[in-house]
Amino acid sequence: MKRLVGLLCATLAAQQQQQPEAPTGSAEFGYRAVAGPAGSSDAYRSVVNLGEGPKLFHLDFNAPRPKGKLFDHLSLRADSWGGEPYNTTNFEMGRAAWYRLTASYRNLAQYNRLPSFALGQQALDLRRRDADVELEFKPRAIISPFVAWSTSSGVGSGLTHFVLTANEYPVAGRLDDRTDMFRGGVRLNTRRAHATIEQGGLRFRQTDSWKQAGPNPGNVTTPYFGEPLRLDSLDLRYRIRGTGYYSKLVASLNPARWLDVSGSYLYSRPSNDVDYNELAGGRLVATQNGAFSSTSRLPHSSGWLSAEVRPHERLRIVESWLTDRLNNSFDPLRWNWSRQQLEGFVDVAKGLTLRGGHRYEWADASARVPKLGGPAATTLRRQVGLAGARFQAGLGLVANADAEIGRSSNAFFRTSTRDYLRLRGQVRMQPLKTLSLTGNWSVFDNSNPSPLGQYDWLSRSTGATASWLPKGGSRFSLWGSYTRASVSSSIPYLVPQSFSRAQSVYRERSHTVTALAEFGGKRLRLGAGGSAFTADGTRPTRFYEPVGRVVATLSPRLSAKTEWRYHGFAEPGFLYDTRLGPEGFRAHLWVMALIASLK
Amino acid sequence: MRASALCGNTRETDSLRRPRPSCFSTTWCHAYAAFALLWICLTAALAADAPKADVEICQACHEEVVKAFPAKRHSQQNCARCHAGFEKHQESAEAKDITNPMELKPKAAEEVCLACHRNDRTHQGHIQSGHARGQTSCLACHSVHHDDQVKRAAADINRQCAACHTGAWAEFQKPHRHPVTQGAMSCVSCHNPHGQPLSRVAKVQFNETGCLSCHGDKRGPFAFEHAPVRLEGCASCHEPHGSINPRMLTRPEVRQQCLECHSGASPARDTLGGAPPAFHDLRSARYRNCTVCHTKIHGSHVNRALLR
Repeated sequence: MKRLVGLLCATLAAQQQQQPEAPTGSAEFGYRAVAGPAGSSDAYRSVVNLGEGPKLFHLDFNAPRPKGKLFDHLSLRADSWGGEPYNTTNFEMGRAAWYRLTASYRNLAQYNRLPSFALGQQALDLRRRDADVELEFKPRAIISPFVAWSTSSGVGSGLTHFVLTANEYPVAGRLDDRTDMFRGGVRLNTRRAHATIEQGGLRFRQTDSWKQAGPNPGNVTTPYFGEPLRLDSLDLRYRIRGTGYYSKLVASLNPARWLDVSGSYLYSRPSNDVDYNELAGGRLVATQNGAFSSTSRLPHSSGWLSAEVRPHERLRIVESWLTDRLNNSFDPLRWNWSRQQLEGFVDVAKGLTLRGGHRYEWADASARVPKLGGPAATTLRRQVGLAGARFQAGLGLVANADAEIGRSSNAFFRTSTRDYLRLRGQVRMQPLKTLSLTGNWSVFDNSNPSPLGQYDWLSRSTGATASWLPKGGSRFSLWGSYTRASVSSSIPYLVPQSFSRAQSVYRERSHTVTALAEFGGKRLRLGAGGSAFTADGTRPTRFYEPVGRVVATLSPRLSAKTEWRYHGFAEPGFLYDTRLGPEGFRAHLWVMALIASLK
Repeated sequence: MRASALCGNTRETDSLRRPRPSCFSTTWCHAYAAFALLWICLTAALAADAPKADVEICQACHEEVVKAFPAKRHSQQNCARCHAGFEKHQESAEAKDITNPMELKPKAAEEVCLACHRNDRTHQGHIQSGHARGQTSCLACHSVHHDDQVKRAAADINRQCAACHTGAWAEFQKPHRHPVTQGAMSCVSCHNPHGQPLSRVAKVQFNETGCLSCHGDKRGPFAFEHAPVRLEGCASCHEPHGSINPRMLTRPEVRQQCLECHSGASPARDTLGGAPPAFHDLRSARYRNCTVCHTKIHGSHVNRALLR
């Protein structure tokens, strides 16, 4: 009888399901006004970069068509269009049994000119456009081929230095690079085994040109043998053309309930051919017509193999081996790195899992170094002990703790990880259905005890997050996070002009608060929050970004929104070069927008 | 016809030795063919599928669940793929007779999802991932029955990650940062939450860090490499989440950044990195800002000292 009723209901439900589903979507558009920035406009553009004008803040559209012939789902999402520094668009369509097409586009503004970096004389103002398209055929079939194309290009202007005859001259130029990547392969899928075979190629081109017309005194204004050093003209060009290919094989196998095996191998070989031309002239600047060309290749292979064995329902053992190897023979750089790790997981009681293991890393590297430098080749041997625990109990309590202690024979670079201790802890709980709490704590202590290394690094971070959504957040919602972090670093270095010993010390103690509270009803909703960051130490910094907003529902399909934001940045007490002026800024931003929805 | 003729093998033993094709070597061709054959044999032996449970049958009692499904992938799946014990449950209509992955241990719940998703491009290296070690199951982030199976909007992804990764979220509130809080990037633009074997930052097709997807001009290979860029990655000098220092550097002054490594060799001579010659007078602002001259600090195509 139960089955009969079930089948009857199923038939009715199936009839209902045949009704075509209506498309859904929403659009948010309006105008942003900016008051300011007061202070450094270069710093504002480097950090915030939001501008004034009409904007399309958000657009999304979903068209589910369960019985569609060409596609059974289609979705489009676009964010931040209309002269915004970051535009994104994502598109997806497909027919479940036949194909899936995904595409994304991103247009990012890269602007950076800060007085405290490189004397304020290095800058870039680029537009970077990235796109990815992937088409997968028969995604659920046993054999599923796919092809993909991605491109990334950056075009814009910049400011850099041209170095010649004991002086450096800030010069402006144009930057243009583009990378196209093509890949294709086949995925083999069954319930117990999977594999992907993939081949890909890359085409890269970069054309940078730096020009100077007219006298440029450079940074050294002191006369040299009674004459000033001066650059009168410069025509410098890079022309880089690159190609590359890679082969990848990934496989995983679940031959028995107690065993998982997976592995991967990836071989890549990018290369670049470069033509460089330089024509410079000036006072005491040797007129040059330099032309160079170079070809570089970088064969690089990496692979890993892992196995997870579950000999008992309370015991898991994970063994893995990884390797990464590269070799650039032009100006020799070679790197062979391997890692083997064994880790066990034991469920010692209901809700309590302990884990422990050992990792061994071994590597060798060689690189060209200047005459006053260290060795041209070095090796590394590292033993690491691993331990951890996970505890789960009522009230959604999940606690995780991790400890890692490493001892190395040496470090490739003076500030590399060598003898270290890493501790991490996290507690998550849900005392109420509407309230979630998370606490995090971490310590990383690294030191290099070699006689002239004597590097000490200690960082700590403690944070908590709370999310409270009574009645599903329909009336009131609160999300807040607080983090306190500190960094302490100390290492001796040699002052180049005297080879005397000095100490490089870095301290950072920071407090970060982010929060967003929303309250109201169906007609009117108010929100307030934002973020505040303060840091003391070597570079004291204050960065505040409060936000307030009101959203009024005008009709079931139309809402109005107004939002205020403030961006305030200051570095009180940090002096890099008083001639270059302060780096701080303040700006108020107002947004008036309408939100229209289809459903 | 010989097999070699079929796959373009040119290693004939005749007197007219033709050159090997350069774009796709026969070694790879044979390796792929052998692998495919092995895979087919192995999977044929292991193939086993779950009993069929039509969505319509389940909908009879669980209408709200089925309706909540979007017209996407999971909606057309067999419910019994995730909920084992379907046949017994259909007879008894008892909740205890069917598996609910939400009530399973994290590892067991994860296995339910991995049965189909093990070979997803994003899941390579899952066994070694931090989430797998910490037993954070798929269901901690994914809501399988609901419309947004994966919250694809960048801001939603970031909010989800920030709920647990408080420290990383705090770093993005610093002034010099990647545009994550603005929603232009998401955590998954650089990280693979499902697992990445070699490093925390996703390595993409060319054995390179995900950073180069957007910073392609730093990809190289360079004729003159800066070794830490290749060997330790961008994070040896930059704080990728956010920093109080310009260009997301780990030190407030460039001279600190450089001289901490470039201070000659220790007596033990166990580290890479040279020392600048004596004309670098740190009393001058020019020399305190090393990149004023060493402009191609990520690697140069033409100059050994990375000057141009």
